[in-house]
Amino acid sequence: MNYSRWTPFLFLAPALAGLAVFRFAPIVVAGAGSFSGMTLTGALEFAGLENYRWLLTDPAFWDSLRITLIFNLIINPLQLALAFLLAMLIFQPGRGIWVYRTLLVLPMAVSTGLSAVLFKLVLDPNLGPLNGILEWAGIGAQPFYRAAEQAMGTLIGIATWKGAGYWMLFLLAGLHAIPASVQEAAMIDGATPWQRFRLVTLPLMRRPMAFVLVADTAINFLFFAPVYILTGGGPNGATSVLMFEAYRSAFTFSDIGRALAISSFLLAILAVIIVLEFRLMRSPEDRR
Amino acid sequence: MSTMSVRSLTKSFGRTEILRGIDLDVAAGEFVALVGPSGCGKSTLLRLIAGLEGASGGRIEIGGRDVTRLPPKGRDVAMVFQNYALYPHLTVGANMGFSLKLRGTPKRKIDAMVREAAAVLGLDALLERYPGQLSGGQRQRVATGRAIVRNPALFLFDEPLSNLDAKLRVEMRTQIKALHQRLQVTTIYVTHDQIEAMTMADRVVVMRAGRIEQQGAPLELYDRPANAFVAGFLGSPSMNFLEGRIEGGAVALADGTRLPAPGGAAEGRRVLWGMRPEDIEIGGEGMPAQVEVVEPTGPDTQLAVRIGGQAATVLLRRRAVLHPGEQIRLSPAAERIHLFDAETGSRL
Amino acid sequence: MTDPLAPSPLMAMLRYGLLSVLAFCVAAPLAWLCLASLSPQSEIFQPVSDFSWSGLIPSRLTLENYRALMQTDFPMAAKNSAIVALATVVCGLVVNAMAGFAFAAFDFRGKTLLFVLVVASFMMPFEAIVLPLYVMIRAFGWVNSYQALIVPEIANGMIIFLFRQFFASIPKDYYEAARIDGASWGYIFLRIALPLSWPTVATASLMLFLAQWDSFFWPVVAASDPDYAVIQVAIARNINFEQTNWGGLFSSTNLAIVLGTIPFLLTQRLYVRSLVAGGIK
Repeated sequence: MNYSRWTPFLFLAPALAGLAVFRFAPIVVAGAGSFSGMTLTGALEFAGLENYRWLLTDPAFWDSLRITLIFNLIINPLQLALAFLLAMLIFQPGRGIWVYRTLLVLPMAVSTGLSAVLFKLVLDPNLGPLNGILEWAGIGAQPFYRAAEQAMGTLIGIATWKGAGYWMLFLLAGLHAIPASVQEAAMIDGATPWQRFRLVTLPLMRRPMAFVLVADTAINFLFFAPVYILTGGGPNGATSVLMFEAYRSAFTFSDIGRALAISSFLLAILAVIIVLEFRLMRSPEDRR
Repeated sequence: MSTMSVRSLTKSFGRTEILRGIDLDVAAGEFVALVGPSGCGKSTLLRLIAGLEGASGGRIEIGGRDVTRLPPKGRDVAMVFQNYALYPHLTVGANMGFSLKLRGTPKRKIDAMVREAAAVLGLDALLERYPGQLSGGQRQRVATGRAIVRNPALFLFDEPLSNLDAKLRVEMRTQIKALHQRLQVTTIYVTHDQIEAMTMADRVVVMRAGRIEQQGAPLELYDRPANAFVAGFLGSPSMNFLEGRIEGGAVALADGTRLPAPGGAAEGRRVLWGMRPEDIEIGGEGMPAQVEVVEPTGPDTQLAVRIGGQAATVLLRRRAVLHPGEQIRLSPAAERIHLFDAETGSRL
Repeated sequence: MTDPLAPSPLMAMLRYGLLSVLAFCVAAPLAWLCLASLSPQSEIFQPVSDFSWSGLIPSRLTLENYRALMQTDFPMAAKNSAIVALATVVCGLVVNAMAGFAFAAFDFRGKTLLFVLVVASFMMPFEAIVLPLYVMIRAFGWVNSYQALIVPEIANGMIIFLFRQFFASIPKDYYEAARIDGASWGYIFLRIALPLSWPTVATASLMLFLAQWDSFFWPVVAASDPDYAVIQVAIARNINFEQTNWGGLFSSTNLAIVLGTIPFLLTQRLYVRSLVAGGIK
């Protein structure tokens, strides 16, 4: 087709400029800034590896890293398992299933910040209805996000409330991608429902499940809003995940160098995750 | 090897009746083809026999055993699907051995049985491959191999060749027929391709709108179709039908053209005069016709003509020099004339 | 006669039972918020110690909490959200559709590499770059402004990807025929490609809207001043300052949630399809 060499770039220019400035330049800024001493007033000086040296000797960072890892080790498998259960429950057609499906995905349209606010109300220690119900049931009111030992679990619960339905959609698409005739062939071959699940469905769901696990991990490494709204990293640092730690470095302690060093660290983890994602996206024929 | 029989079998989805009372008996070792236009219920009938759908009424027996309410697992059938339905995550060998593994057959025995079946179908070299790496024809053979490996009571084929190109289809047709002659397993084969049905089956069952229209040996159906539908469905190019009225022992078309007719039909009755394209010759004192299109195919010449204003096809088993617009005379083979009732379509 | 494949009644009961429990867990907090926001101020909360189920149902439904909203900073926040969302959707559609069109219609040097970068950009959650981006925005002098909220969210790899997928599915003959008739590429994009892509335009709009709607970290950092705070930030700020206008808090939160879910429910089918296609393919 006929077009000048520049035509494609005229069409691309605004979007590519936007991505370059607002997606890729910040990565460079994070990297460069992490080698600088920079305060919120903007004074900038080269500091070499100082920020990292500080970071690596700072117990608060290690605590935060530990908390972030524990959080991810729990929440990602949990959300995957729950999303898979939901997908299996929704998959078969049935009367009224669309109502359940809509209800289950509804939280994805509730903004993250608002869902944290919602649960702050629901879980309120004095006035929240959930504690009222627990009291009524004889279990007794729980402190939830106000106690160090329950705060992390509460955040995981809230994030799962919002996320499970969302990830279900991807697994549902995966289930629909398994040809019905393959399941029928397994029935004819004599497989029981359980054998069909274990020997056909599960292996064929590996890719969608791996995708969900990886993409969910990318998001949960950056978990922020509920921490900010509900716990402020507390009680006693129990929920101080890395993203919140970075935020606090910048805005509470005005240590932008440390904030950018943590950001760079998170970006490096993300880079690994994104490479994994690209591998998953290649078609199965490429792999075998 | 078992018999299979179906008694007054019905199937509806909601208000739609797919099968309206099917009776069918298949002898042990017989190869039966179910044919019909799409939507006639042939695939549904096969799926009911397999146990992939539940019957709305009636009874299914395999080897004399009532299996109507059994799941597929309890019916001892094997099925080849239109899209092959191979397990994408398993090798060819594992695909073929899957049913044996589910039954807890020892691994060494599975290997031996898979190898034997693979040898029959020439799949030896492919056992370690994955379905994604195979061509369409190879996948088809693997699907067939998966069916034969466990020696089932009944083979079911659901349009197994319709995803292959024409050349491969003819090849596989021969291979499946040879396989049946060798293994002698009772086979029910669904196809919309009447040539496949005619060439492969011991018996052809023609279905339409959830009913069996006619069943019998292929040539029996071809030579004595029970109604105009069967007559038109079998054969390519399909039978010519000219509509007219019985007048003085002949069929008179609307414009007065008279066609020869066998005796016996009531005077004045409206009929379809049927004649296969290859049973007509040019010349003699036959009926006048006008040539519209001439299509030489090499050995044959196919003509589109008009007889008394109605379209018809003539297939000459030779080369013929004819031109559009030419007036010719056609002589049908008198003993090959079929007469059908114009309203009901049934044979007179 | 029973279908041999139909799930047993027990399994069906188990399935619907489990689904009901799970759907209840998901919907109950939302339903409670909605009901409470329609109750009189005094009934919104019941002390944990004398909880009763009947207390969850308001004695009368009232809009007084919603009327009270007009006196708070909610209208301001709603206006901010509307400006930000609208500007992002409009600019985002044009910018990303153009880029998607270029990837689909043209061949040029570096195309594959650029496209990989586009895809990578949407795999990286925005939160990852909030802090360095803040440093940049501060250098631009954009802190506490609409452009700080809008401009960084316009270029969106996911939307570019969606448009590319759509435009790539239009046969190139369309474009070629128009070129032969003497149309410019701008004309082809605006008059041929874009009108054909309305389902993508619809889902892209919703995605851009939801991206703004769901973002929290960035607006908190970039525009926390009440004059520029969007709804979710304004509400979170109120709750964090332990404001005790419960009625206002409930009605504003509920209103914000409803405002976000309605467009989602309306375009759910299209949206889900595109979302999943973006994730798997």
